[in-house]
Amino acid sequence: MDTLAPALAVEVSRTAERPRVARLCAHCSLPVTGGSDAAPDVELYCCGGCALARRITGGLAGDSAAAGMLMAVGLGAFFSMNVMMLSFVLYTGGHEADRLAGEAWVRWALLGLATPSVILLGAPFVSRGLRGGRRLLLDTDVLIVLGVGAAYLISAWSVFAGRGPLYLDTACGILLFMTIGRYLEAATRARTTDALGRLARSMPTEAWRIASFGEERVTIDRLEASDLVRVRPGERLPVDGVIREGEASVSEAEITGESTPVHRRPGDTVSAGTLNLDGALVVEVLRRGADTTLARIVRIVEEARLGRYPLAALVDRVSAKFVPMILLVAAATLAYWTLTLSPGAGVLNALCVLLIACPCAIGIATPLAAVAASGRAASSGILVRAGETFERLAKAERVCFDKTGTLTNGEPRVTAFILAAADDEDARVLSLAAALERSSEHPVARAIVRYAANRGVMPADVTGFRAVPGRGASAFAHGLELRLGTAAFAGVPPAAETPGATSVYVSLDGRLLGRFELQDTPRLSAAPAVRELGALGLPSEILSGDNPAAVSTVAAGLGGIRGSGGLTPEEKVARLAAGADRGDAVIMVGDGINDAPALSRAAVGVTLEGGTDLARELADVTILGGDLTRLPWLIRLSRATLRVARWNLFWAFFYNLAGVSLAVSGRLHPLFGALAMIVSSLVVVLNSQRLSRLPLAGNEARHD
Amino acid sequence: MTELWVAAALTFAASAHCLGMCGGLMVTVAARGKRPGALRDFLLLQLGKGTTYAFLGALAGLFGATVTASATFVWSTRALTVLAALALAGVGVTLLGLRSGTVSAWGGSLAPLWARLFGPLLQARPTGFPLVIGLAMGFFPCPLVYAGLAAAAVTSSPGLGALTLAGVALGSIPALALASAATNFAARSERSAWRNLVTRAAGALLIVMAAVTLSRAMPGGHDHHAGAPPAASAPAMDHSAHQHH
Repeated sequence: MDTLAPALAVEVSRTAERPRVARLCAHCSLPVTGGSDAAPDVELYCCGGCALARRITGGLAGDSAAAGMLMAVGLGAFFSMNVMMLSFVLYTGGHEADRLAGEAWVRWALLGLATPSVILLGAPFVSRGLRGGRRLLLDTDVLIVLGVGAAYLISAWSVFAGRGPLYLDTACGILLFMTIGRYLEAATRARTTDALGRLARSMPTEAWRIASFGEERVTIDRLEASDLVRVRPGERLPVDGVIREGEASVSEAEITGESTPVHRRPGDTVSAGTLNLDGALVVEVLRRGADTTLARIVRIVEEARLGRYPLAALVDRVSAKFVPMILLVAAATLAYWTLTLSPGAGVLNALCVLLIACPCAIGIATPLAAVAASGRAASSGILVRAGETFERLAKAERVCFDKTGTLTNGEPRVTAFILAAADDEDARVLSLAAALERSSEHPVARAIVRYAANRGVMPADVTGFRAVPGRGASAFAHGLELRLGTAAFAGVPPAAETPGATSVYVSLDGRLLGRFELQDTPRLSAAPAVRELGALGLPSEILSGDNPAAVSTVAAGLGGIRGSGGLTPEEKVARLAAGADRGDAVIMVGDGINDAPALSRAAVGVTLEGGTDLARELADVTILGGDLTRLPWLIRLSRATLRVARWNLFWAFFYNLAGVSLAVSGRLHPLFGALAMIVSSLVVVLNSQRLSRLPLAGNEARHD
Repeated sequence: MTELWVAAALTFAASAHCLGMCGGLMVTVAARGKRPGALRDFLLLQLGKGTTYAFLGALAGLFGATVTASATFVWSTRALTVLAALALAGVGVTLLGLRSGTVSAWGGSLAPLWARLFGPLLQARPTGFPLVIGLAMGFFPCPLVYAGLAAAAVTSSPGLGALTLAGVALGSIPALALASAATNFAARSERSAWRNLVTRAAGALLIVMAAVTLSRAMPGGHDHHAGAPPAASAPAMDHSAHQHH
């Protein structure tokens, strides 16, 4: 909570530039400033609270280290509570209290109780403060050490001198409240940002490798490509690979956010971290460890956290002036109260100004919102490359879609099968067609084979397969020549086609057996996505290179969407650029290859991925699993994120201004300053936690 | 010192309740057969718990003093007394068994946090660890502590508030000592009839206390409390607020 975000660690130099952010906190996953020079295997923490929380809740240190830290904090708390209790009694005055306050032994007792407390609780602040001080970084730890140190030394002097003010309860109380407050904040914050950890934890560390003598349990790093591993029902896949034996329902929720399991057969690819629900599988290793899709997802989400955050420009602008201003105000407070009342009052009130104005809440206000949102998005199978993207998504006004492969499945599917002779059998013709197309890799062939398989038709026996590129394929069945392809190739007259569809003809010895109609069908999720976007106030448009007729067919099928066809990639970019010049913030949804220029020109580029192979360069947003309805969900999440970030920021500044005014006027005791500061940070954390409670995509209550 | 003994006596009367809530923990921390140092650990635990209680009591007293010192102190003192009486009565009703659920539900939701925080201490058992455990235990939700805090607020004095809660800590010691001495005791007494009976008697006693407290808030009622005549505490608080400036 102190050196969290660049905005709050102030370099005491004239440049108000953000220090380079390069690492994430080992406990709460927020960025750590100035971590780039640390060794990669050293765990870094953004604040003392996270360091404490990590050690206590079993991070790297063993039980004894955690116990030692607990003892230190606990004993510190014990002494602090006694100091405060005794001081309360003295404050309320009355005969008894005044008599007690006059007694030397009471003062010595207070000092005796306070000293171990200050040492035990103050040590972590001193060590962190020294580190910050060396880098000339004026963070909260330095301020606390200075303020508490001054309060303690003035009191100690009073005890030795036998007269003068005592601020021992203040010194102990600030340390105790800050320690406990930071711990609480760190613990809560880690819950907000933990989605990533859940992803990483679903990765198994060991696998059953099939060897010549049987099976052996090996760690993942000992596996090599093309090794075979056995995955039993109920186990998570340890690697990315191809199924060689067995079938199973696989839950890919960790990767795609899709909770419905998918059926996987031999030849299908599967991803590490997904869950084998019910089948025994033998999987050939393609990638393991850090190369797997899941590891890449985790890395992308982590990298996103290092980038800029929503409202960053605003935060930068204000913080650049805010912190020097606060330092001036604190100095002025110190001078004023020292001159008019006493040095003690000066130190206390200046300390209170610094404690209240500590920009912790400002620093975490927007990163925390974005990190919570990115975790939530990742759990729904959406990768967002930078925190700032949420701001642009929330402010978007229009959505443009590519057609082929985005609004449509990108692969032809058999939409009709028409027999030539009414008395012929479906199954006989289908089995012949499937037999012929089985040997072909053409998309049309794949569509026909799948169509036959879905109807339970087994391919017939054919011989002498021959493919004629661009026209069709032929073979012999029972000595007769079987042809499948264009009407001319099949040697039959063309039939009247449905608009937008492609026909493929099957003939046996020149006699027409039947005809397939194939179409690139819209994704099931396309129509609801367009409808939901419209409800969110975002009109949709198709920008496609395909012919205008095909585009208007798709547009008519979806409804509520405008269509422009026949565009070259350059024209798509020009369209987006024209929109951008008018001040339109446009989201472009397309595939990462053909649409790359358009994606980069749009305010936000969105790509869809199959979900099992993250091969492509990523756009700003990648929706894994290809469900388009995730887009409106993401818009809603982004708008909520921006709302939370704005509210956090407003609260942080409002609280600071109010608190500083009270502190300057000497109306706020530093103890309450410390408490208020913790409360303000907790308010920001709890407010951001609302984002973690938003329903995941696909689990929302549907209105229709 | 009256506050201390009254609170101790009342808590002792109600301390069958402590067996259920804290008895198990006593056994975990302090009683490991006839282990040497078991007595020391038990006392450290009580010291830690007592410190937290007294600290909370001082805070409650400070709160009471602040309220009484405010401009409209007659009414605010009266409101404070009524609230405290209601709190006492509420705890009494809970002990009578007429109202249940809330307190134990709270304790249940704290359990995982407790385990996460103090697991390392209970495993490593460094010297003096029961003190820290006791300190944390003092913050456990407990109806007897709530009753004590209500009474402490009415004293309108941090010192008397601390003494009241120290009394609560003191009063619970015999029962807890019994629990840690006889490991099976707590488990057996859990269901025993006498435990219910004693707890209910304490509940009834608290309700009587509440009635007495309430009568003081009534117009014409007189504050026969020794601790904090409002006239004296008003300037006292003034002193505290400006101590540092």
